[in-house]
Amino acid sequence: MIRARPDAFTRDEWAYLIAFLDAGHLQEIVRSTAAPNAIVRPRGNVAVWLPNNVTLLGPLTLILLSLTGNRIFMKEGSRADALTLAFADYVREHGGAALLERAEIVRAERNDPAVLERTTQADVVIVFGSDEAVAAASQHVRPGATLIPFSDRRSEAWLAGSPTDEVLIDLIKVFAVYGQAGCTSPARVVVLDGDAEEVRDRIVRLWPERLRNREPHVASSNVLAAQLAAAAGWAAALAPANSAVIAAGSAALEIPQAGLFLPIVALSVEEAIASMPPNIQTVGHDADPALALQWLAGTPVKRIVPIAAMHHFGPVWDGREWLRECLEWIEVG
Amino acid sequence: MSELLAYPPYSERRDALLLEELNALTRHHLERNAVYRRIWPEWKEAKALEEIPFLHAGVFKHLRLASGDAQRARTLVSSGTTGTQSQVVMDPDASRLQAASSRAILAELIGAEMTPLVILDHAAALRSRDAIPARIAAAMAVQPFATETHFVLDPGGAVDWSRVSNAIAKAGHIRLYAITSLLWTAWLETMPDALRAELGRVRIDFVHSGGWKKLEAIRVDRATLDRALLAAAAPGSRVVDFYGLVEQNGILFPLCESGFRHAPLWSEVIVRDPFTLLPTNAEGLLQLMNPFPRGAPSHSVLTEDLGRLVAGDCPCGRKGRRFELIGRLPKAEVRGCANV
Repeated sequence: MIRARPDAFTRDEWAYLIAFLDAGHLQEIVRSTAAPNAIVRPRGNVAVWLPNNVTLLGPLTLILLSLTGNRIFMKEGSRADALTLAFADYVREHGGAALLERAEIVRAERNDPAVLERTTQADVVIVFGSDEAVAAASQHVRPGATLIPFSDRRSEAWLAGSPTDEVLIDLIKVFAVYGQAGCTSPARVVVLDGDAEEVRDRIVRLWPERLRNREPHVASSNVLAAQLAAAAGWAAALAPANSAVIAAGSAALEIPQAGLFLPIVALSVEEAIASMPPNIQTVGHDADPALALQWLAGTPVKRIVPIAAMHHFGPVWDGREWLRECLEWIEVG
Repeated sequence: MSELLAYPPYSERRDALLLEELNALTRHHLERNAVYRRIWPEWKEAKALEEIPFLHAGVFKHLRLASGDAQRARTLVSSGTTGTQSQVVMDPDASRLQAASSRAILAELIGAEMTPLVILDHAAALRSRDAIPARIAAAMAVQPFATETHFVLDPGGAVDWSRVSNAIAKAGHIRLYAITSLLWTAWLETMPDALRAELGRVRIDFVHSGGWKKLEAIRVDRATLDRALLAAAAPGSRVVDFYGLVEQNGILFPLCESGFRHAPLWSEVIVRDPFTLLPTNAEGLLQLMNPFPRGAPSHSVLTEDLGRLVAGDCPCGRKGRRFELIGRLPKAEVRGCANV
């Protein structure tokens, strides 16, 4: 029974992390990673570069890598909240030191000599972050090693027709975590052949009490974003307590640079695909999975998942079976 | 023209007249500025000052809003110490009103006596045809009281003490304007001993503005700065710290002897709850208004500064609205996947 929550984590983050650690969930990941007639052994050294400000990515990656038997080196961003270090400390303090005895976690700049040395020694280098970060890491990947780059990506939520309140509440929850700053967060909402303003009004009305903003600087930034959006031609509305800006408009309008700005556009499937960003990663949807696949099969989308699962991290990510790539596969006849 | 400028700045308030002028000014901007119209498409005549529509101060960092011919207008540009610069389009008629406003406010504080003016800046900033730095605009607020003006910084940003020596050669009383932090880092910390003695016989009205962030970083507070300034000047010298926004040029909020900021009767200060935007008597976001800006809709601005209105009469004797300036809103990074 886990009674305490480290201060570094919010209640939601800790709850997600604990659910991720559920034995059944991890066993399912191991089962799905296995292959018939094959056994695996660790590749050796895995180096991971983490971004500065994605909350749970570090701890989740660490958990999955700890299942592989590799030696793990993880670099947290020098300006990060250091959740991986906080999680590792928690594990060690609560009797789990053996789980992390092959893991080294540091908080450092990417040009730190120790980071570069560990990167050069690694058999697999995983980089989460900007294109610039991937380019910097790639210079230190030795020949024969594998580079797994997870660079700048954008995601969208697609709503078919008239969404239910439950779907819109899922959308709010998914968006409120990172706003525009998350690669798996809906950077825009596409209402397929529906009414964007109606969806905007319902989102504002349904915005849950629990997600109401308590930070004056966030409220002020959102007031600014609402005015910049209106200036650009969006029909913008503020969520309760100025928690976010929800705006309806056309796909051609400029999107203000604002953390909690959620643009909603009404489009046909063809128009939505034509205006999709080239670095699209996830499309969260509320449709029948087969229908969503039919819409999106011909696009570069890497994840097609229910809206509530947009942030769910796993062994397949951004088009790569990255956890399998951390293992050497031995065919057994 | 604003009728309100005919009255002393801290006399009984005439809010009905201010409302009338602000309504007229709002109409002026809505008629001439399509972007402003998009932000406030359904605005109707305000029945009270709190109904005058506002623009968030950050809008001026993203958009150059012009209510009229933007090509021919000069632009006031903020120092941009915290990021992107604000740009406020100026209008010649409004500039005259803004100058009259700052003159009336300062005269009430430092008197209307004409003296030499020393400005801790360099004159090059004045020569731009299109853009005026906000710090120069602030310095120019003191210029109406100047018999002569001396810019005493060299191009490298250091004080040219020979120019200071020339400025005080025949004067027993001068005024000196500077950005707050420069008073410490450029004036006090580099003052030659020989000149310290010369300055000790000159009465100086130090007028400064621009925030305390840099001095807080080196642990210099207001009392320390004031004490050090007054120690290096003749008895009878004084220090006036005023708060103002580039978007509200001409409106100065000097700190009074009792530690409060006072709004002249031709301006209004409203404090809004950041989460509801409703007016509040508690701590909140400062909204500042005045009836002068015609070049851009900066007549009503929601700032990123926190403040609190203070009820009752001020011991300093000034009438009208007074408030406590608490400081800037903190900034915080949104968590996301932006950069390693």
